[in-house]
Amino acid sequence: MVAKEVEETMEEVETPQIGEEELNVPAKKKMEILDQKSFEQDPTNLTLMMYEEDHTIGNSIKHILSRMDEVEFCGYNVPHPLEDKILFRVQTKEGINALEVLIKAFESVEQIFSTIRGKFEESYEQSSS
Amino acid sequence: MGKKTAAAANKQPQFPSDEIVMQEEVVLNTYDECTDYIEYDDTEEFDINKYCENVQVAMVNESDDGMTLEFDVTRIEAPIANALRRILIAEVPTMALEKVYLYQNTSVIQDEVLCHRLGLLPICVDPRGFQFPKEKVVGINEKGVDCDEEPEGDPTRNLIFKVNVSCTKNRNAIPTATDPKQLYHNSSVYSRAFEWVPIGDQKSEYTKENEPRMVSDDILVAKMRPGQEIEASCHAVKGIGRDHAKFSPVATASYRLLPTIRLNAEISGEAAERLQSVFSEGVIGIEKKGAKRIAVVKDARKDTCSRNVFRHEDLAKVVQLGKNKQHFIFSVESTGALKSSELVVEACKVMEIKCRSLRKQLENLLS
Repeated sequence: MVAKEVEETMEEVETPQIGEEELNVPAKKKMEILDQKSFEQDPTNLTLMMYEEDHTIGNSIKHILSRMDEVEFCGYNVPHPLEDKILFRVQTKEGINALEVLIKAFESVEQIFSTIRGKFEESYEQSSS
Repeated sequence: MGKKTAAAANKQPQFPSDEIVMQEEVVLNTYDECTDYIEYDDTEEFDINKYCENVQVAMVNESDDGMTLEFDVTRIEAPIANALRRILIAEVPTMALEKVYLYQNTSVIQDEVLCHRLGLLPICVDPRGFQFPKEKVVGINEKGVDCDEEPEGDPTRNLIFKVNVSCTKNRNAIPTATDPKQLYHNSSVYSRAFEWVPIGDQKSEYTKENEPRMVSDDILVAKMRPGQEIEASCHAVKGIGRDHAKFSPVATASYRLLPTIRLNAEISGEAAERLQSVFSEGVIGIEKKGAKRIAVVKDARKDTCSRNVFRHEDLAKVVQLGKNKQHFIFSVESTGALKSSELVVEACKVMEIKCRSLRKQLENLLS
């Protein structure tokens, strides 16, 4: 019954709230651009703090970003092991908004995992039949 | 670093770039510049669709009950494989006992130790039918009280298990008996003593077969002696391993790279048998070729990569060991709530939802 609901949220792109509830994430701020002013002046240079995220997101996003042509430099770190947050740094080539590139990277990782899921289900069905 | 790999390449010309080279004292061709992406091509634009097309998944084996599963994912890199592993361990939700309302505990095991043990009991129920608690569970509230009166429980968020066991003397025990099991009734409390108490309309959601219960009946929870008793009502909630390990749905979730073994010369006779003995069982087979018995690589997957072969000087010269960098062998062992195959699917979904919700937030920052 609720499994069906999850399926639906996978389809509907318009409901981030459900996704957040799924992950047990409190409604508080999860992201923050450090030095907002300088980012506005130079949108190729983005320093972003993500709260309640770790290497799972950090490393996989970094991995995809590093492969993208628009990206000059990217990296992440965990500023302190006791603080549940990661720091992300993206430097893009001239004239390209770093935030947009980061959004594209998230899209890519999502696509990779939905591919793995699809291929896994397909292969599992084949092997169990 | 660059020089080193170049030297290695000269020494091992036939080794493909997508393999880690394992030598006696060093492991070469590991993570460096571009080789974390195999077939890295600077001139070509990175195409995510092409990347996804290349990914392959294959089942290797599954236990009869579906609780352990081995499968291969090829043409991905370590950061992606590692994300899947980390999600499986820490972010796929399950149900676990979170609040224990102890009405009586006269056993020797202390209240807090007992409650902690109860929390760790794996519960066999599909967590997808539940919602996360509305608020984070706190140890002590602002009034300094760590426990309120037992609430009724929310049918969409909680499961309640009751346990009420008291130990008594067995009057029918033979006089010479010394075993507590014969001397007393209920000298040991096992997980089978927990009884599910449906709240609201929960009863109608489950059949006799899939009724919420402990995964295993034989987990020893406490030991008692006559006159002691334990009475508790335990409330389970949905949670993730990131919050507490008891919510982790897997006993282990791990990946390794597929080992490769190359025999660069024909190894026969005594040497062949020696070769067979330095690898794990089933890795090297011996085949007849004319009058000779020669060694062949039968199943490199079974190799533990002990590199034991390099202790034999003659064999070390002709055997090359490596690992395929793009071939990940996953092994997932569920604790019992969901089948391993379901867990992998859930893990992918969790990652997708995570990416989508973070992307949404980024888009909000953009505007």
